[in-house]
Amino acid sequence: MPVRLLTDQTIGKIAAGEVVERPASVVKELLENALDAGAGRVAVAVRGGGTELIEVADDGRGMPPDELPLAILRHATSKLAAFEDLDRLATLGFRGEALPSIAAVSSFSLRSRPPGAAHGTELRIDFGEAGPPRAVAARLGTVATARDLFANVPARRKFLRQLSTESGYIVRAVSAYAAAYPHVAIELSVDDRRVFATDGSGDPVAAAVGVFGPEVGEAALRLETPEAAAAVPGVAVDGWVGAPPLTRSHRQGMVFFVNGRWVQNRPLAFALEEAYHSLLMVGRHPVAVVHVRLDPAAVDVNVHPTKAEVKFLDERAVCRAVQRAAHAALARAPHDALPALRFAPPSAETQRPMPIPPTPWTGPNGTASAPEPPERPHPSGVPILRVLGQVGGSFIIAEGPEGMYLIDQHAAHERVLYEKILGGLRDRGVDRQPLLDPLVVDLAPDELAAYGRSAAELAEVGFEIEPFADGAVAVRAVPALVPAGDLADRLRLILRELAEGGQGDSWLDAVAISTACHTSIRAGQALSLPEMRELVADLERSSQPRACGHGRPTMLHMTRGELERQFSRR
Amino acid sequence: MKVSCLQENLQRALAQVSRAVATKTSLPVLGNVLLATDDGRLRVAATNLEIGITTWIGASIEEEGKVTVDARLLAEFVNTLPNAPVTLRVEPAKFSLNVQSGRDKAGINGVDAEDFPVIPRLEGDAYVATVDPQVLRDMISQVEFAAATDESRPVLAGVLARFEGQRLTLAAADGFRLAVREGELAEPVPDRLDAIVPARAMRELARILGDQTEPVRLAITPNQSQLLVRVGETEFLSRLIDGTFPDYKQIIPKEFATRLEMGRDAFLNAVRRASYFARDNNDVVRIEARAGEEEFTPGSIEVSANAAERGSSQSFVDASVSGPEAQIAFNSRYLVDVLGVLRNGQVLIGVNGSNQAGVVQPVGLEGYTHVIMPMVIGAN
Ligand SMILES: Nc1ncnc2c1ncn2[C@@H]1O[C@H](COP(=O)(O)OP(=O)(O)OP(=O)(O)O)[C@@H](O)[C@H]1O
Ligand SMILES: [Mg+2]
Repeated sequence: MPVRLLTDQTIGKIAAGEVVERPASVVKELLENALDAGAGRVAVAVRGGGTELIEVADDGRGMPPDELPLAILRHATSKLAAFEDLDRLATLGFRGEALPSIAAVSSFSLRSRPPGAAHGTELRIDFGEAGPPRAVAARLGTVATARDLFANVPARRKFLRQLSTESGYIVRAVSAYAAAYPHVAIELSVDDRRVFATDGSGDPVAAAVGVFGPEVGEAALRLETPEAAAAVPGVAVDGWVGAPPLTRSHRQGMVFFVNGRWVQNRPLAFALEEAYHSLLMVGRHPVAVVHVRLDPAAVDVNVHPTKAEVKFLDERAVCRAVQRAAHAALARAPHDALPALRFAPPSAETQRPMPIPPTPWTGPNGTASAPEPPERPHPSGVPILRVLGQVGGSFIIAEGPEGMYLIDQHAAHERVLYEKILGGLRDRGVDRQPLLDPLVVDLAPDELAAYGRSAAELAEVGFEIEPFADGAVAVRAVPALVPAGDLADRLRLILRELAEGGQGDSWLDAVAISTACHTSIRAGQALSLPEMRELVADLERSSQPRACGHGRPTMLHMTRGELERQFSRR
Repeated sequence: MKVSCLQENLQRALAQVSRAVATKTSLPVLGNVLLATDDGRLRVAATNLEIGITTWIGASIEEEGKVTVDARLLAEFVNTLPNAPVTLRVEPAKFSLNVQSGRDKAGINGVDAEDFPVIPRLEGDAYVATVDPQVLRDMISQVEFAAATDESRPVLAGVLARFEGQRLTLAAADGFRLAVREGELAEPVPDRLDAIVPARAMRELARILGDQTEPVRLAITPNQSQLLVRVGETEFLSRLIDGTFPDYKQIIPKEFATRLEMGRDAFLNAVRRASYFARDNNDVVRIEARAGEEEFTPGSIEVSANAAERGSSQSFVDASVSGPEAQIAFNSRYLVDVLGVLRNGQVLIGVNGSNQAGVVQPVGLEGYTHVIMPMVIGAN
């Protein structure tokens, strides 16, 4: 093929791939523009996981007719005049890249009416092809609409997850901004259903309750900049952190904003978790919305195409500030351990375990093939194993005729429970254990929607759940095979997974898989030898012992030969 | 610091406080024990921030001082010393403890005692109730096991202690079962007070009560955040759980359609036998009660379990059955737990249908009630 200059449209598509990797990134860019425009009210609506429709309407300052065509030109921005300005940035946008990128991969329209204008102006760009501006009737503010996203980029379309999963990403992004911008009333609807709305009252806890549900309101502890002695110069921290027992089994409950911009930053999340130290059980993570504000010159926002990452000049100082503020807030928590005791707080830089270089582990996939001459074959194809112990509270070491087996206790138990649920469904119905008193569980809007869609299937696997006032449900019974534990949290995890689309041959199967996954023994849970033996015996009896319901492997196998090779004996 | 005391006393004190030593902690000092001179005696203390135990032993003090050292290492060393005087010495401005007994000695590196949490003492204006230690120990053992083992609803991870008039009530519930025990206080209290004590702390308290016979004083700090108990020369401290315990009274059925009475030992044995078969079937044991054929022949109950893959079992226990025949299924672990804390004698099972809460009570002994939610066996 001869070398050719790329056409503008191709350039557009390539650049778009960087800025908008999935529907949620489009939503984020449009939402940021609305916030930059000083909106007091923003309504976000999506359909079909954002691939069918994304619409963001704001009541901000709008654009005059002559500026509209500029807005969709690459590197056209009203926000940054020279590169040095980056250091003084007060807006979320600065590249002038978002709108052209979105317009290149969707049927895009921008309708805007600034204050003082008699009517609005609309500009349509079909997959990069701009039409003429037209006068239209419009409300004050701007409405940006993207339809048929990625219809001209089949590769990217194929790359997307299930539509419900993409909706989940969108909910996450809008939730983060809605919680972090309490002065702006933000509402989100997905597939014509209202997911949440905040009141714009300016109260961060009220906004969080609007987004995440009422349980957050009781647990939210406001972050305050500590007294001068404990403050980290140049870094201010506000927002809130959730007091235990408000925790999640994933890290997505921790939302960080740096100078108003939503960021993903592992060190910050790590620092925040450290502040909780013994307050969290293994495998539990905090819920928090944390704002870090610092001199824009001390943070580089231009390191990632979607601006999701930032680089701090002094990362340790920022982490320290977050940690101290969280520490101070948690110390005010009502059920803090022995509040009257005084003890020296641990130094902010606690020791990290020394990283041990990973030993090459040849052929974990050798697992999939049955051990060659199985001495005592078992119906399921797993040999009889002898349990030796537990590693890291998560993995069981066992010995079989063909060497060593490492069993993931969570995946293994998930498999066992999943088959028990299926067995119950097949035979005579699943046994239930009713509660003495119904347990009322507050659900976030997407969890509630998932419950609505799955009520019949949840009942089949053994839950008795009834709708309760105001976004809550009452749990009357749980499947008898669910071990004791945090029922409310387990139910939420199940519903959250279902909200993101679930996984399975049928919806009932998806509900069974989620139920098994979120009620099973977790990683980090210490098990006694008899408990491990029972689990391994159960696993041997299951029909497909080698993978959990989600398809993750339950065990790794290392043959004697491999062990000898690793130790250079052969 | 320079102190000498008897090996035997030191060993006992270290064992006593060892239960409050933190095992897994991000604050290393909590794995230590505090040794401090205190008004002519040696104070030995440990805390994991949930509970604290302090005890005093006689010692001859040459030089005041205090230090904290690794609790386990010190206890292990002291345990193997002969029963003879032990000298404990800390050089001024150093944090290492020299332990010496005859020709055996050890130097244990410690931490400044200033880093050790301050364990509050019993102060003047606390709320105080007095109770017989053996009654309290018995009450704790009949209730604490019903508390929740997870922290999702913090109040349920605790045992409610309600002081009212002459009466102390302990209650614990985990969502599926409830245990309530009432007992007498040695003296009436002026005001009613509810305190929720972590179940783990209650178990430790029962252990410390041991075979004490002198009445013990339970004190609640004015801010109602801590429970302090003085038992002989030992002080036990626990944080209290903040919150309101659910109104458990409304959960307890007042009347039963069917009452079963049988020997506790026979019933417990039958349940245990069934539980081995129930293990693979969600621990479901079924209880079926039949009245006697004629007025004077006793009735019986059948306790059975079956697991599709393992097999099944049936046991029969003589029982007096009043009311209509009844069938109910329980989690065998819940039955074994409650029957295990009742003394030999007769037990009553009260049933109001197979979907209603069942009650277990000792016959002829007032004050103990255990409520269990039955299981619903799937049907399709
Ligand atoms: N909702 C809106 N209300 C008012 N003006 C808007 C709105 N959306 C976009 N604009 C104008 O269009 C310009 C281009 O927007 P675009 O998002 O492409 O770039 P940006 O926000 O400046 O930078 P970035 O690419 O970093 O987002 C903005 O600078 C702004 O002037
Ligand atoms: Mg922008």
